[in-house]
Amino acid sequence: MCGMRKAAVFLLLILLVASLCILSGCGGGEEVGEGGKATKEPIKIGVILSESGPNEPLGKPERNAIELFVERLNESGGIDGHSVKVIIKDDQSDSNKAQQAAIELLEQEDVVAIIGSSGTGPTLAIKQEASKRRVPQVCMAAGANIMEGDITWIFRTPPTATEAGKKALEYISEGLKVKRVGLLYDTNPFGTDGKTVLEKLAPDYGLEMVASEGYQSTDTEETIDTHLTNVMTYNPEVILVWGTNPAPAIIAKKMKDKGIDLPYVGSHGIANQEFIKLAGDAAEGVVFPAGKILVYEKVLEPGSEEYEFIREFAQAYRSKYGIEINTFAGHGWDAILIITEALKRVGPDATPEELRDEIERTQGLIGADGVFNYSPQDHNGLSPEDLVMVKIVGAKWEPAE
Amino acid sequence: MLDFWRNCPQYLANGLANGCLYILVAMGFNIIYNSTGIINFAQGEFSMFGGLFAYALTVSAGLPIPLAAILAVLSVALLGGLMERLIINPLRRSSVITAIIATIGASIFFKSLGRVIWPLEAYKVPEFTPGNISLPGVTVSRQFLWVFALTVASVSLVYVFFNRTRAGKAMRACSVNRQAASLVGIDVFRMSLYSFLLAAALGGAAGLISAPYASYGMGLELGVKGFTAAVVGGLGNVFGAVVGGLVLGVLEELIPGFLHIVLGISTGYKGAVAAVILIAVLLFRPQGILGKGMVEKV
Repeated sequence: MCGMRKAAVFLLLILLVASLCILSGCGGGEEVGEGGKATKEPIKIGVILSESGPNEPLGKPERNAIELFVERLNESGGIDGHSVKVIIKDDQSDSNKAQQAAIELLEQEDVVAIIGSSGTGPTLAIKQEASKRRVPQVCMAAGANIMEGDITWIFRTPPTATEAGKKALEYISEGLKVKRVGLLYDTNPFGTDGKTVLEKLAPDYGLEMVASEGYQSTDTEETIDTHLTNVMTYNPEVILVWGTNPAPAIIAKKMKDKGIDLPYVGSHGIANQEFIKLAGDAAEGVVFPAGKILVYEKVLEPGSEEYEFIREFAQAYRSKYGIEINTFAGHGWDAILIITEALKRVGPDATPEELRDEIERTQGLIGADGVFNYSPQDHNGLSPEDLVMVKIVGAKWEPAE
Repeated sequence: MLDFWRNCPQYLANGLANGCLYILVAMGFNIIYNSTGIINFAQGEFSMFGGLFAYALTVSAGLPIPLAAILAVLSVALLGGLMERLIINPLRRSSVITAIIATIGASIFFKSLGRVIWPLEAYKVPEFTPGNISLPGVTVSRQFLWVFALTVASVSLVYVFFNRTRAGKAMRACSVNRQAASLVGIDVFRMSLYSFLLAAALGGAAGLISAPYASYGMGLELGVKGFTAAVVGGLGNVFGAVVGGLVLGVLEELIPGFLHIVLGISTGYKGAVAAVILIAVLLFRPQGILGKGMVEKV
């Protein structure tokens, strides 16, 4: 009996150690860059991404894009002969780990700028450290609260609820030509950001929010059905859904099951293949705002600067990784683009302060997400015109008319 | 008000479907509590594995759904058994509270394991029979019939097990008085193992039928709701779970519906309904609706 107990404790210890190993992952950062044709002292940029944990689908393509960008930049001579070296760290979608990584990069590596992170929580953690040490940060997260308080040191690349919300409301009022909107939103930060913006902006587009119902990300199919039943009680003419997978897919499925023949307008949170996979047939006809990158071949003029920019990125990405670019790859690409373009203008020896000022002066910079215009008041950069409404037709993305 | 009544059949159907899931999870809580005195905080994670194993076996391994379902439930039961042997049994001489804390550890470990293997926010588990049934005022998915049938079957099997089999009767004896049961020759440690096997199987079944989506994070929600249902019905009363699960499931749909449609209060925080019910029961009827021990007294 005693021997068995010892064996059990031993096994337990093994399990514990194994789980710790899995959870902690590899701790150190990885350095990419140097080499290439550039020979002068490298310029160091810190990158913090969520390569594991819930935001893994965001962090992976962002990393791919950043590595590819730096590789190409250094091959073509870097910035005035200085190569760019990015030091990439994984925050595991965890704010504490992001903060720790930021401190390491800022104190030990002496980086000139930080890119990161993929999600809103880790981004806020980095913001605190980068602002304190007066180093510019370009993030790829869309949470509204990132731009609350002091925005001096932080910039971002993805479109936010404001741009996406304006685009969706404009489509409902001018494209669908209906007035009564039934809103279903996730009570997570993504959904409540959207709800705040949509309820505030709807009157500007002559729309009436007849119902506004919050659901939880973890709600079962039946509970989602109850929310939908409640919204339908108010006779909406369009169902607007603001959330991230999987609930928007459940709502699409439930609408199909119940024979609700209303247009479904979603958020940029479903601008991914995952939504089509989860919703199946029910995804058909769903319309949502998204960056042009998803359907650039159909919405941009071949030969135009924007078209050629995305096409070159898409081809390079495909030939290196064998997969297609997506929205998140675009966010990563633009983050490193904005920093390196500012460095080219201000010179490779710029201090973090000088670099920040130059980033803020970015005007008309064509990126994968759209055209960036920063100003002291606006560190978001994009406008609703950088988004298009996309419709799911035959499980594929098509521009919506 | 009229709108509310018109929506009622749909609320009831939705509540019944959720209630079935809560019943299965709550029975698991009760069975383990009876045999060991432990509240097993990893109960919700059994459901998570039920759903994710079903995904792995059908979508990733390509097995037919019935076979995958049976294998998933058996695998989760095995996991429950392993947990008992590796964590609970070695702690048998410690206090109950130590074992309960160990189950919290197990739940974190299980969730992390699920997150490492299945990191995405949702995986689509195929429904047993896709499609839906429409009646005037109510539309339910065909899956709902399976949920209902499987819950009735599980409850019946558990009833037969506890009343007609030797092991079941021995487990009931343990729940009345573990020391006395041990004195008359019942192996209480084996009963502890049986209770984890059974509770894990029930939890796994709940996760499996809560299709169409499974994720590593689903265990917490189901665990909390299942525990609430168990307390509402009477903690330790295996069939109180049935009452608790149904009451919780139905009220959880009816109350927000009423607040929204009749009073115009939009409520996104349905979780609060379960919490309020739990607190109300603990304040006014701490022994639960049916109370503890009804089964034993029959």
